[in-house]
Amino acid sequence: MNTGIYRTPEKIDISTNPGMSEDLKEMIAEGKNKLTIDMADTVYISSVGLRTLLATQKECKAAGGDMVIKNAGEMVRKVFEVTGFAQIFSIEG
Amino acid sequence: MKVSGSVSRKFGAETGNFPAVWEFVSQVLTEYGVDEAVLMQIELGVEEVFVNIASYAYPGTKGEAEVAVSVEDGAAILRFTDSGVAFDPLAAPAPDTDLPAEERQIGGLGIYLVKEMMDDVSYRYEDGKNVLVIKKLLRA
Repeated sequence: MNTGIYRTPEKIDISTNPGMSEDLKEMIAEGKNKLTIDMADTVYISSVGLRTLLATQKECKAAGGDMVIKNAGEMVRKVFEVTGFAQIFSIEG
Repeated sequence: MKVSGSVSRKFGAETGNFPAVWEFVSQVLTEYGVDEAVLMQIELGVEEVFVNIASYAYPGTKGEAEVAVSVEDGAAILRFTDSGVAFDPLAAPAPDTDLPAEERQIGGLGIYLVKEMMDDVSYRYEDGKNVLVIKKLLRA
């Protein structure tokens, strides 16, 4: 398995999401199918960011790998919980 | 603390205008001394509602969205008005948040977040306009 770590931006919103989505697609295209999403810098996420993370997790799994989320802060965790994504994603520390 | 009063501005209903919309709203709310954590939740509400209008209100054409901000009785009140297609986003069914990833429908997620994170959300269609109002209590 090919591992990769991605540090998400401070805010994942309609402006920054396209760049993040492109970066993640590129990593998967490079064959990285076991991704760690480090959210330590992220203080804000909206629904567009959730869509990108869900799509990334699906692509990792389709490639025989997985996606793990680390260091999610208070606001991000709340959004994951409210939307039920807390059960869908593998969330660590 | 400022005395209440509504301030409004019109923006082109395009997703690329969200930063300008938020700059306007956050400037007004910061003058009222709104706490950073609450501000972030309001930002989420503003982004989801504005992006929704920008994405669906004016199919195949351009239009505007008016954003009005006020602080009344300890709550921030944001009113979004557009002259686009009549659509009540609150009438859409809530996503089933218990479904596994493979079966999750992504549509409706944004407005669901707004309903969950704000203290009140209301919609009305009047004088040919969609009017969506979100309210967030300012106590942290």
